[in-house]
Amino acid sequence: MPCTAGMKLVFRLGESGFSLSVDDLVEIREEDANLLADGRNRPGPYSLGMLTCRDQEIPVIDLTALLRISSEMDYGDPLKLLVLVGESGFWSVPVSRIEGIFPLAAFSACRAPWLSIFPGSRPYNAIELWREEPLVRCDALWLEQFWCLA
Amino acid sequence: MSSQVALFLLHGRVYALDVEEILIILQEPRIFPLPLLPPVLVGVLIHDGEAIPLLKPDWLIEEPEDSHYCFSYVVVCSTEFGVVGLPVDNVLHIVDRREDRLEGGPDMDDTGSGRTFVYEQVRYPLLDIGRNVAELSLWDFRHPPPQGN
Repeated sequence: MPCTAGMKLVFRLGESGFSLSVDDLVEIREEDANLLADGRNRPGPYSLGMLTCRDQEIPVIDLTALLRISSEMDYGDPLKLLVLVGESGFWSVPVSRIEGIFPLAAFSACRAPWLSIFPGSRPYNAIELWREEPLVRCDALWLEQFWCLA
Repeated sequence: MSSQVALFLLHGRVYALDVEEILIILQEPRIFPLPLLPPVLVGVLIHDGEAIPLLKPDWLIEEPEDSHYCFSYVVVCSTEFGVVGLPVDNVLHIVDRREDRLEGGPDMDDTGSGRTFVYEQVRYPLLDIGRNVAELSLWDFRHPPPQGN
């Protein structure tokens, strides 16, 4: 089994790029795109529905709404889902594209001092560079706070 | 205070900017979107390991919003609140301020500085980037509240 410790997943929502530690990732799965269209339980404002994963019903969260990315984004078919681990258990996120999993050496720090001038906490506070592109650095626990409290 | 002023073309008009505020001028840098940026920002560019927010020129000069930004250069400026980029169509001249003069007045321009730079008897609105960027610090991504679904 390959060792993924200290690696990061790079994915996209629309045109925006994101990085996520594989420590936060439970699995990557593909589902029928109808999963988002069947209108099953939508318990929260950012919920797109529920997904059965490892004998549990877990929420599918719309990060595009949380992060105010274009709401007309097409996730494609089949649907690519990241299953993440949070404080309240597993939750999942549909993404537009998965670029791959890369070693930490592929990422470098990116200063963004202007982020700190905005008042209030936000779903992300750091940016890093990957292949000269700025990525939003995601943290599953931090993101979970925002959609759980909404 | 710098003794030079840059004259540049922005949305078909010529504006002036104190050279002292300019760190570098980049030709057609790659612009990246980031979520939850204030609506007055186009995106960010990467320069020297730093993500630099790019201002919407419409906001800075109070022009009607134009969703299609076609610019050739970005003037990277240093302000009290950090470094920001200003897209411009072209940089026309760097002129010696001592050759001409600044004028101030309440209704002289639409740039927020209330000043114009007069060069060869032509008045150019003088941009005050710092003053505009200061308004960014008042922006809160939670307002208006997210709609969810």
